[in-house]
Amino acid sequence: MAKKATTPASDVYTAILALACLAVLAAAVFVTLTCMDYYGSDALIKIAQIPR
Amino acid sequence: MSILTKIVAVLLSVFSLLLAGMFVVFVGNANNYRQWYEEEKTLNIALQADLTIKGEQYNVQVNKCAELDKKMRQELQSLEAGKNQLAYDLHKSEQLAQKFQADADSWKGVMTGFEQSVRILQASLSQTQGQLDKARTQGIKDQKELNQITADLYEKIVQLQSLEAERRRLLEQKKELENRAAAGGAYAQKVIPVTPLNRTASPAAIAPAGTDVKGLVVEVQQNLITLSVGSADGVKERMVFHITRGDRFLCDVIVTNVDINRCAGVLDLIQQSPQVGDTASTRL
Repeated sequence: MAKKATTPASDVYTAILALACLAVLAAAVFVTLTCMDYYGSDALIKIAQIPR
Repeated sequence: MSILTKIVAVLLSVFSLLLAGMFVVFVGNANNYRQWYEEEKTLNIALQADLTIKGEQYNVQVNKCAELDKKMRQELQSLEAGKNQLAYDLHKSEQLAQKFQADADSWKGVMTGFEQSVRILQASLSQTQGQLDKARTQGIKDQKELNQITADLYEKIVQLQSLEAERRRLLEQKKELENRAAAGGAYAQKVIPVTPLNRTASPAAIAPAGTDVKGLVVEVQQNLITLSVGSADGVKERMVFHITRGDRFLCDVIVTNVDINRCAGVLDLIQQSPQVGDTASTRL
């Protein structure tokens, strides 16, 4: 089956989606750094563990 | 791309941005509970240590209070004993005070009687003193008269001795004349008696007024004083003698009675009481 080349219909909406993805990524990075700053690097791992 | 897809993409982007922004704001304003926990833990440790120290201090203070309470109780007991002793002493002292008060009252009555007796004795003493002064004055006068009489007696004795000598001399002359008459001698010759012619007695020369008369104090009796100089030394009544001891002036004496070899007077300008042996002089 021949590979169908996908092309965006509009660059504007692509830019909007890219901007939204960058914002979400930046927020995730900010939250991660803040959590590491507050509670240490182990907090990202321990936060998912079941408390004993 | 359909319109619905476009709308969904735009809404997804918008909501993603809003949700990311809210999430960032929420996380940025979130509290650092770990830091709070560490701070509270440190504060708790410090408070625990402080509590331990305070507890130890409390125990120490409690022990001290217990010791002080024990001491205070002992001191209170000793003070109670002292109080009881003092109350007993006070009661005893009150009894003694009552006894002494009764004695004082009785002694007061006795002293009142003594005071009256002393007043009577003082009045009697004053009267006796006046009589004694009069007697002394009279004694001085009598002594003066006695001395005068003695002097007259001595003069009479001397005159008598002179007359006796004269009598002897005349008897000797008579005897000599009788012997001569018996011997037949008719010549008259002056007879020289063996007994010498005596001089008659004559009063002593009185010192001229204005000369310095010096004597000694021979007797002191309160306000009266007797000096060792008399009329023979030129002393007259109302003469003033100055009594001195060494270079120190003691008092003046105004002569009231004069004897031949003594005089008496009263003290004046008394600076110090004279004594027997002090010097009396009319000139300083």
